[in-house]
Amino acid sequence: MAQTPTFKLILVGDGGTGKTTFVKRHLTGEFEKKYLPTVGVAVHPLEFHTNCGPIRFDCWDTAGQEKFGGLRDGYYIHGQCAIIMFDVTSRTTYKNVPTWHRDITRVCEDIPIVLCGNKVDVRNRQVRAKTITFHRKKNLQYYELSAKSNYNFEKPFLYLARKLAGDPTLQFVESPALAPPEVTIDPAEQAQYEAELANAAAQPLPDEDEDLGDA
Amino acid sequence: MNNFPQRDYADVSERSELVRQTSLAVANAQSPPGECFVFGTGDNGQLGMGEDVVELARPRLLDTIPGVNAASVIKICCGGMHTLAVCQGGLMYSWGVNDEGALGRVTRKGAADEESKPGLVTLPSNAGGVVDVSTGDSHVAVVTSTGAIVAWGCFRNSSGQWAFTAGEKICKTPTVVYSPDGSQGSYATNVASGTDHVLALTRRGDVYSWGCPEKGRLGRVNADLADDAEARGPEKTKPLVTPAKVPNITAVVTAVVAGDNHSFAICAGDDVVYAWGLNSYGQTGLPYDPANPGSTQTSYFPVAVPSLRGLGIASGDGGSTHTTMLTRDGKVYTFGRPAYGRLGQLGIDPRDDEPKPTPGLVHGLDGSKVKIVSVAAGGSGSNAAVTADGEAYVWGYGMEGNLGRGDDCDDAHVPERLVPTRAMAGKKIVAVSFGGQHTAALCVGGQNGDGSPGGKRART
Repeated sequence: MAQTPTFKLILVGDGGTGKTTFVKRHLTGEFEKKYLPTVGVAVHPLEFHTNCGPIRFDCWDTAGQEKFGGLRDGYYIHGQCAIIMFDVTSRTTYKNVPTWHRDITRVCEDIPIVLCGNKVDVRNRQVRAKTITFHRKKNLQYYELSAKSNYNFEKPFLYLARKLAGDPTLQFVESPALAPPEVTIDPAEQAQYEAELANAAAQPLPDEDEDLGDA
Repeated sequence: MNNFPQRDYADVSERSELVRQTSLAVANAQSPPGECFVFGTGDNGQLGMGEDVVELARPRLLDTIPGVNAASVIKICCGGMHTLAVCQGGLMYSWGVNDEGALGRVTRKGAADEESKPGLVTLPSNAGGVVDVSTGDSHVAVVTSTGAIVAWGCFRNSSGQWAFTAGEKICKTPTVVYSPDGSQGSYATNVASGTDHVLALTRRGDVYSWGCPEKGRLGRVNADLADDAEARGPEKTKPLVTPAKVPNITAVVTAVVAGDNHSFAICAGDDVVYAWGLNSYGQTGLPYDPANPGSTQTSYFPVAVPSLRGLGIASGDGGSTHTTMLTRDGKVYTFGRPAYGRLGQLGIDPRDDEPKPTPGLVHGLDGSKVKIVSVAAGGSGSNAAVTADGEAYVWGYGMEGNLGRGDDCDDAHVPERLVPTRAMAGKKIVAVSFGGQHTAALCVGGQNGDGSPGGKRART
């Protein structure tokens, strides 16, 4: 049997955005994770089954170095795809999204990247669709997630699998075993946010500064 | 934490004079009123012009402060995702993200303009007006005319929202956190903020710190307590979020400087600078050991920085992972993380990411051509230096339009002049402040060029 195609997935974002919670949802990946003490990361092998066969993401989760202003090149090097995570209830974690993107592209250049807004289960979420524009400027995919409820868990992986396979019609044919949900989200409320997101995505980005030529 | 030797300055007035002169040297203490210009990325209302103004490639006059002449701003201060302006009379206005109480006022969910346009912050009734302000990601600290410190917001730690007081994670109401004891020397004079900690300087020359203690940024908490983020109860939290003196500094402190996770006490008289906190990229100026990389490079208590001794350092500002320092004779030094041109020195490959703990002169700002009177650092690695003539030079990370260079959003690897817009013509730039993705500049003077706001009477 041929070896499963495997891709290095870089998971970044500020401390407290739920990266480790997210990656631990995938039960076999959590069971089979391996530590790389020299770089200080846990590598979770996250396997998914597609209509074209299995695919594996070796998902690199830091041991917290990112919480204090950056990761070294050794974390990014040979990365083939990436997820940038922030917390929709604390927009200060959105502040560093451009920097995370910059650090990824500095080392990895043009790899598929997904921006994920986590914690949409929290009732007093503040992020509204039109206030998140970074992914549109950089042509990144954006998904809202709730790691604790498994909401949209597969979405970023499906997007990355399609990009890496070069097949926009690729499908997952069976769901991976996930940890049981710890919270539930209000489907009606989330449907409304999703509709706002779709609406915002259909609008042109607001005009750039008209003072541009005034110097 | 008060069991270290008390220093007593017999002549408080002498020390006050030193502080006054230093403050004048950094030029941002007693500016005449002026106008606030904003630029960069503001998709969360940081630019203060409503939620539809999400990006300004060039500086634009902020004229949305309610009920206030746009030319009455005396201080500007950008936080991670919010902005503050102090107007004449010591009135404080705030705008931007309020998720963790940084605006110090109530904003209603769904009423977007309440966040994305300036609103008045009501300080405690007997606290006096604002004379200095500092802010980080989610907190604000102000020094008032009574020598007290009023603060609000939230200190985050590496796991997310942590605490503001022993009992609450978020404090949305401006609250007195420090009061002088009645002696002149105990009056607070200046504050400086990292992302989640505050340093305060008193007239006597003591440095106080409070906030998140991780990686030694308070300079008064040992490693076990500082980095034990998970196991704290209210009784352990209280001494961390309450201002307390930083020990081990044996010279008169004339300025405090904070970066994201690192801190400095500048002692201009003795020409010595103390540093503490995270040194992961050499941002404290202390030696960096490449064989022991990463966040293990930490000083939990103040250490005199050998490489900064004798340079005549007078003031400075800290970025996320680098530091920019200004000498009395107008030289600008940088050290720390080099990537994206943030050090502004010649001979550094912009893709180089190796720590540079040794201070180096910023290109063109060696004191010979232009006279620099204040510096700013912040954002993802952006810097500004303001000249005595009212020009600003900017360098470093520019991807958010936060260097104000129009459609050129590349990094500036060496300083470039911030070209004034038409609305800035004839005015002097006196201060620049960097937020996470946006920037503010304070301009004074007008057509008459005499320091009074253009066409409008200054307060008499």
